[in-house]
Amino acid sequence: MKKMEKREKSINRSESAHDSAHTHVSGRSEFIGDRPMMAGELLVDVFYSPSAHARIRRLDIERARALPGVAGVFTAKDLHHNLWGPIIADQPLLVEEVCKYVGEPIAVIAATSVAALKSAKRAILLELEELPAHFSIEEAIAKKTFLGKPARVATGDVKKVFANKKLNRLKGSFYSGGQEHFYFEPQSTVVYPCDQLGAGLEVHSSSQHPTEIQHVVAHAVGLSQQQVVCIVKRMGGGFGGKESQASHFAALAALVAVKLNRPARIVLERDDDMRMTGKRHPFLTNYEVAFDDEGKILALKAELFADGGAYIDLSPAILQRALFHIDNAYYIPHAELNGKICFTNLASNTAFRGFGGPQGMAVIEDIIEEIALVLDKEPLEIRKINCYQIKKCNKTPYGQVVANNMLPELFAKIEKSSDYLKRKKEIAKFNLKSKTHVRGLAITPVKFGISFTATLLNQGSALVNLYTDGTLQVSTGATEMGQGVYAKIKKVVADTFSLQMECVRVMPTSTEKNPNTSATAASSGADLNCSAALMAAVAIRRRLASMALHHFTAGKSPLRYGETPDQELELKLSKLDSEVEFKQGVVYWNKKKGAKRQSITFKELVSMAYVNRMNLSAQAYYRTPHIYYDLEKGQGHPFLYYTQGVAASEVEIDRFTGHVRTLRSDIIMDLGRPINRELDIGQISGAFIQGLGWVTTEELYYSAKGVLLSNSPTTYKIPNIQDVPALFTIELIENSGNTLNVYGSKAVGEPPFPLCLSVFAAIRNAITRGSNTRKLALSIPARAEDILKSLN
Amino acid sequence: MSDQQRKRMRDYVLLYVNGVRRCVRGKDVFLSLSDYLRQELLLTGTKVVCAEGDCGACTTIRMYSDFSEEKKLTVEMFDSCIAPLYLLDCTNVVTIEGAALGEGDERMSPVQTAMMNSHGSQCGFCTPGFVMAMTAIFASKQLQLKQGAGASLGKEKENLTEAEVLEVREGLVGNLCRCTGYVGIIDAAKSVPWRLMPFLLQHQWSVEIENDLLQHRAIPLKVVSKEEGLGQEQEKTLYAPVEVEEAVALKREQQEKLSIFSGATDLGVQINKGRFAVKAVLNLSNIATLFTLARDEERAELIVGAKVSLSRLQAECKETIPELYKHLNIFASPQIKNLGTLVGNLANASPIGDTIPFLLAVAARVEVMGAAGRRVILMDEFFLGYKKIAVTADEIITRIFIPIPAKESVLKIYKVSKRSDLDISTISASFLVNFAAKEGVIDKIRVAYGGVAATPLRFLKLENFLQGKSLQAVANSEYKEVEAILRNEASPIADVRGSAEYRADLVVNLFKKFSMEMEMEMERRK
Repeated sequence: MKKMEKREKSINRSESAHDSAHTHVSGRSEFIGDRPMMAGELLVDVFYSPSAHARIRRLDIERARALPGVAGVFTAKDLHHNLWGPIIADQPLLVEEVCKYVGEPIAVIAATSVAALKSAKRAILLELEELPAHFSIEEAIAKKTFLGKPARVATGDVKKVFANKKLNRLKGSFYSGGQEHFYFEPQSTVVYPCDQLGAGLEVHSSSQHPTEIQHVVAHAVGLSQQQVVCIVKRMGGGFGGKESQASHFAALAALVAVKLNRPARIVLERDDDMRMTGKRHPFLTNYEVAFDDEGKILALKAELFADGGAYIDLSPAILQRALFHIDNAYYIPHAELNGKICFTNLASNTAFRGFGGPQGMAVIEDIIEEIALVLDKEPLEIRKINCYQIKKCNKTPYGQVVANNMLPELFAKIEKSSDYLKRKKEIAKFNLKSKTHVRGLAITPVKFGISFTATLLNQGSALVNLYTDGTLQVSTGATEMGQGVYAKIKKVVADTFSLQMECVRVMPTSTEKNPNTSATAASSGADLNCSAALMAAVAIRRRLASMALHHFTAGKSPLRYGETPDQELELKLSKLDSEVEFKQGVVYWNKKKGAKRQSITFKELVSMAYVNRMNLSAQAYYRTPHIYYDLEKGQGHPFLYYTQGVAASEVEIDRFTGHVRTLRSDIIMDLGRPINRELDIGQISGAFIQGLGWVTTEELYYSAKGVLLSNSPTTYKIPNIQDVPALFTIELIENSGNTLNVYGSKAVGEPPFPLCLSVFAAIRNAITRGSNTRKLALSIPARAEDILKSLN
Repeated sequence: MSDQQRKRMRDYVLLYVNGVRRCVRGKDVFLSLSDYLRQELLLTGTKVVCAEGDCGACTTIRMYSDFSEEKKLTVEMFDSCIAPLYLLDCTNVVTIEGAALGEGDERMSPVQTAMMNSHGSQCGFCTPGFVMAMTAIFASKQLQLKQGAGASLGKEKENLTEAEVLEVREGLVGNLCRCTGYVGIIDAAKSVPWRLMPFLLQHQWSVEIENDLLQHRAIPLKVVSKEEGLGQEQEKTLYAPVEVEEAVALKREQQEKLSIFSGATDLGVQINKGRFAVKAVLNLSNIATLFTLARDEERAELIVGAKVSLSRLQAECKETIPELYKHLNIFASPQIKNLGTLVGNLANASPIGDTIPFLLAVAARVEVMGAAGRRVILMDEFFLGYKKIAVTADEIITRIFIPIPAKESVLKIYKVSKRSDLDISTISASFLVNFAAKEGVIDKIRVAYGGVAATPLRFLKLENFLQGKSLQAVANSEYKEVEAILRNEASPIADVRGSAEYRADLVVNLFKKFSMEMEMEMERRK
């Protein structure tokens, strides 16, 4: 222990650092593409459809197969099962007859060099019969091409409210565009045949969902699930893009490994990755809203159309979350919300941070801005009078009461801390004076529901192994994509035994250690897996405590071998035994006053437990309590709790070019009691800036034939360091009221993302003040081109 | 070529990687540095994300003595994904594996420690690139101090000044991060006690390395690589002469077969994307005279050699042509500007080449050398058509002469792009105007736009129209005519960076912006 402490000090590493911080900054962190090549390992690449919709007339791979360096070329007929999908298996791994989007995999090539892969790609003969294709939501609506079932949430009596002629009404539509994940590490997987396939496959993948990789791979190549182990050490970014779609490429690499009985590695090139994989769903929403003269919303009718792309993927769940979040922070007593998934000839759209939530929230925030224009009122006033209240006006359209509601407090805080009213006045003056620029300022809130909306997914497990030298390994189903979940798990386990962080190691996520896991998604990674890890750690601690008592009482106190994790008990920290205290590597017996305090080092205690044949390993299982949802009725309690926040952003627009700069952003969030405050703040800044890209510069630009032309960073512009507001503050408020979650913490991955809508609202605000319009149709992203047009 | 010279010919590229000497022969010479590092040396800390020099994940550092009399040590970052290995001939390349001050976590560099503790890293994929970029920034700041008036490093206070924070932000525009929102990275930079540290890359440089590299740089290089390709043998040749005359002779001999690489910041991308294949390469990096960057006081012009990087040009312009300095600041990333050259930007002849409207507006001249000897081409006669220039296949561009705008004239350079930094322009424009003695009346004006046609264009009709008029009068009463001329002169296309309509509007608006700024300038001058 001493030695550890010393080392810790000498590298001067902060307690809250990311689990891999030291290897990240020294270039030692290993990603899939960095793994040393095994003897005989093959490189894998995909030959994909150049057309958005076409029937394959002829596919000839013979010439490609015969090239030197090419080990094999495979097509759909080589697969055991071709169809896959995270919800419904509707998507072919390799096209059999009809290609449905540009980038859809048709054949898989395995070769010994990149040059050979490229030659083989060129040597494949493909003859296509072009079929009519469509790429927009509007066309899909007109042609009635929908995927899956419609979704619906309704409350109150919308008809009646709209019949009231005294109320104001507004009809409109709002469009938000897609977004490329732009994870830095592309889709990557390496597959090793074990015992020359006699013992199945070991799959290492950059994936948020190792269990799904295991399932899809096994199904595709005709193995049982126990024959496939998937291991995820880390990802170079995920953001939802590796929740479902990593499986597709893993299965293709597995096909090569199985067919040729050689290790096979696929690491997509950036340009191909951007063409082949799905994005954030574009949404088109038609709405009608009724409100009184104060701006209070009484009824909302909205029809949401999500652009699902060519296959279903996760679209139904994303659409549902959009419906659950169109209220954002506002009480809407009467609502009728309907949603449909549109089929288009584009890569199947998929999960992306927020998962439909931001798209839903964008609609209501746009409506609020429009109401403010119609009534000529300050948008913040409209926001505040519609905000969910504490005791009344607190029920969502889907029937869940917004408990532990911090929104009114957050609004009050940000109005003050951002100097909102004063700055509004200054901006008005500036706009009158400046001939070159126009400015805008806006505050928007977020209320993000935490839990997978599919209740069944809200489960997690953990395995904690304590070794005889007093160090531990923890394995859970959580995957590390940069968000820092490993550091949180580590802290929870280290704290349980009051050990240095260095004594605990979080192991690469593996289906071997934790089976049947859910994706690390829905911001729930830490919630589910820290809970499970805590339970497992506490179980071992209880056993050790009994060992310690047994030792202190010279055998009078019985050994408790059978301590198993119990969800109800373990999450209440106060219930932890007070008699035996674990403190910085030493275990004490807190007897009655006056008695001499006895102690034993943690290490000795562990050895003693081992000698007494005590199980030093525990597996625990956590299921999120209290949640349910009735899909048919559109009512229930789908979320364990809500993460909330507010942001104030000021922008400046160049009147001549429409170019936007974000001058200042202030964020205040309620994250309960964070397990790791610094990492959470990193999540907030990262999500906000990613959102800033979504609402400003990130544009998916397709050719008339559906080819993504903005498919590399030269043409697809994510924010860079100069896009970060010069003044950017992030504050967390004290909230110890979230007793429902581990440590009283709150999930943070997605919730800050929609705060970028403050930038979008500020842009709207600048345009409307700069041009004196009473109505503004502006889409996401607010391109300079559109801004310039609306200013004139 | 005499026998003696022949003897002194090199057939290998010499470079050091983290202080380890590497002689590279054959096909590896044509690899990108990142492929060489990752595949041949198994140094996988250098990441490749975009393979087009637009994200900085592959950022590495090169150290070399410059071509000045003093042979000053230069430390600069560049994108290793688009840099062919031969461009690193006679340099010491430092990768993330060489960034620490020694072995083990205890010997991490102050940049690494700061990135760790300020949470500048999340997923870790962009991190090596950021560490290297930040290391380059602070190492060159330290060098400047050292090479300067002997200012002491140790006495200054630890925190970065506001100006230095801005400088660091500008220095990091070439590195993208998708996780952190850059906040942790900026915090990390702020906390690096760079003044108190020993020279960050001291452990990577020695007199032995310096001498070895300098000796090799004086020897002409020729590498022939024969590769058993897919079915057929492919031969590639690399030449790196040390005299201009040799370069000209080679070019005369081989004409269009021989591709000249300046910084490879565009051709490197084309190669990675499979759009360009080299057969024979002429690398000018070892020709000392092409690195000349001088001010001809008499003619009031800058002389910019073919190998003068955009970074050096930018530094030079800070005082002589501040408007160009400002423009170069957002032109591209430091990684690109350290390799890329003004001549390369011109020779590439893109209709949206960022420096070209400027060169047209100031009436720069281009010196070329070829079979017929030396000649000078006027900028107005330089472009023949889309990507076609007046330089013949036997010629190489050696220098550009840039007239320095007089104090009383006004130069304005505009660039519109989707993202303000590190982006290709949608439209760009340059205006150079001389006012007559009478307030606000235009004596002479030169206007050039980029992104409006197959080549960057001068707007002669507009110039003629404006001649002798006051901008204010034009703005007040003749605005419609100006707009008509502008819309007539420009014939932009629609692409990923903007619609034709938007571009046409921008052509007009940039002129409006220019006249508005002139008006403000006139006010100021009063």
